[in-house]
Amino acid sequence: MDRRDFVGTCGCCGAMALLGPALRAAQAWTPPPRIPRPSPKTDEGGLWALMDREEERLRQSSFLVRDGALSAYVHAITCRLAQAHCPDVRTYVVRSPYFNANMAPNGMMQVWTGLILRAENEAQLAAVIGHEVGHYMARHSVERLRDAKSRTAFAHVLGLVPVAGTLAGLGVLAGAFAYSRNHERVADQIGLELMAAAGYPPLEASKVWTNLLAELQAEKDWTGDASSRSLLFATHPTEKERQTKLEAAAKALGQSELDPRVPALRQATAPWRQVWLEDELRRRKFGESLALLDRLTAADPQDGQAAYFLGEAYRLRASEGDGERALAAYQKAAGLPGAPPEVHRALGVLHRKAGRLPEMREAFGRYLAARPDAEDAEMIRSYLTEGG
Amino acid sequence: MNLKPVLLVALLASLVLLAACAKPATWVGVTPGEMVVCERLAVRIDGAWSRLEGTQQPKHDVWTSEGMPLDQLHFYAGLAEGEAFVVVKDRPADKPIPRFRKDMQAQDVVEMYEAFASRDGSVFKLEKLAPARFADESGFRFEFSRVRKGDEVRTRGVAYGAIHRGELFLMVYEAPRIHYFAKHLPQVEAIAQSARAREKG
Ligand SMILES: [Zn+2]
Repeated sequence: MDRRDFVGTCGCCGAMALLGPALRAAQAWTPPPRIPRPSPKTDEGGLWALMDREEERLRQSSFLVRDGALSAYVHAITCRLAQAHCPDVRTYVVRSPYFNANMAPNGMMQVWTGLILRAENEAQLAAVIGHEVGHYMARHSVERLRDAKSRTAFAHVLGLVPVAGTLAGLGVLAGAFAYSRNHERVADQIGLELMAAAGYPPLEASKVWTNLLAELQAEKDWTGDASSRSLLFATHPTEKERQTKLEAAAKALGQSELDPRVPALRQATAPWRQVWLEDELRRRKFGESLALLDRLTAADPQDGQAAYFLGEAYRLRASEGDGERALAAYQKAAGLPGAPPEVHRALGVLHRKAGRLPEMREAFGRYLAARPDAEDAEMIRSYLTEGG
Repeated sequence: MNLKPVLLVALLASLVLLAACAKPATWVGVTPGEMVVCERLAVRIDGAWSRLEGTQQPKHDVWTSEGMPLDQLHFYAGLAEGEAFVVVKDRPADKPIPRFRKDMQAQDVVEMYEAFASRDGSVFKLEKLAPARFADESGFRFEFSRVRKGDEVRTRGVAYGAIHRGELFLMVYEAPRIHYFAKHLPQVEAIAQSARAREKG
């Protein structure tokens, strides 16, 4: 499909804007009919069988997030975007702190928690899911399969997956799907159309990339390592140009008055946010994490949880001046709603190192009062008896 | 649990170890009785343990009873300021690797180990942290559980650590939650009780 097919549809936007997103999108671009299961004798059928097997492994994986409410929430987003294809799609939330989502040709949609954590609103999450649904609807993986070069890659993957294990294997599998630039352009454009049709402001799609590019730049600035790239970027060649084009295409679609749905995402992810932020810091990509946490604390200055994790990121990075930055962030967090009790432990540890024993006792006391059965309670109690 | 992937992983692991050293590392039986690990930690052992020889990591020793990757007992003896659980160099890729600082508290050491144990995406969970004597010091003991990323095997671990004259001594035992962990735990506890730090040289 050519890019002009999409951009060219906007000649009659003025009149269309009055007709509502669904009708407008329907006239601009029609989603293909549902994709039937291919015969097992064909190469496409073979690919489906492989994906069915991987899906079975994913179902058994301990990295699958088994939270009915969260899965239902993300699946509802997928369905809103996939429209008539909804019955063919299964959505899985996978615990992995990386920015990634992918949809297999058999309808298995994976959304990784590192992506959900990074979405500022439901529309941004829908943007990435919509892009993946775009690859699915356009059957890009089948085209890739028939491409001689990726045939070798697939053969390689088929040999590797059973060894590598579920999640690792799926990462390798995703690598074999590295789409062409043209596929990316098409998926981007379908994604935008699906977003608008589902009632999401398409412009949020370009913000996803703006934020990610900022994170990657921050990481590069810190480590000086240009090789630090996310998994999605490994399979999705990215450049500033793509983000700019996405922004222009989104602006052409309009619909900027649509609600990006900030509270809905916040509410659905609230029970998991602390775990995901912990997972995020375990990546030890402190440039990326600090860019993310700067964004979270700026978006909601009253967010004690984000302020605490900003402190954690500085403490763990431990560069020049990070100790003071961590202390400032913890002190701010301690006075805000939503900060976990661990903020008092963090303050206690800093006071102990600096020899401020009365402050140490006060902070550890508050931590133990909130978490008397904490896994490290015995250790902390031993500090309270120090120094007489 | 399916045995086949485990064997394959073991095979891959041994291939990696072989590739990493000029002289291939080999498992050698440990004679029960007194011995000094990495020339810095004296321990008393009984039971059948094998240690990996020829790893060219002077401050790290790895033992097993059943064979890797079933159970593993790691010793880090005398890590100095700036050193890590792996050999680190001054290059961008190594910048995020946590390094030992002599002002570290028990929590910091646990966190440093956690970063090491979850570097491949494995899920690490601290279960308990408490004060304990180790290597002639007021040290600490911690328990953890882990889901290994590669094969998704659920393991349990117990570790003893202490900072002795500015250097880190840490002993970590980890084995599959089912059967193996409990089987060797009493021996591991006895080894930890017997551990004494030896001065350099
Ligand atoms: Zn794509």
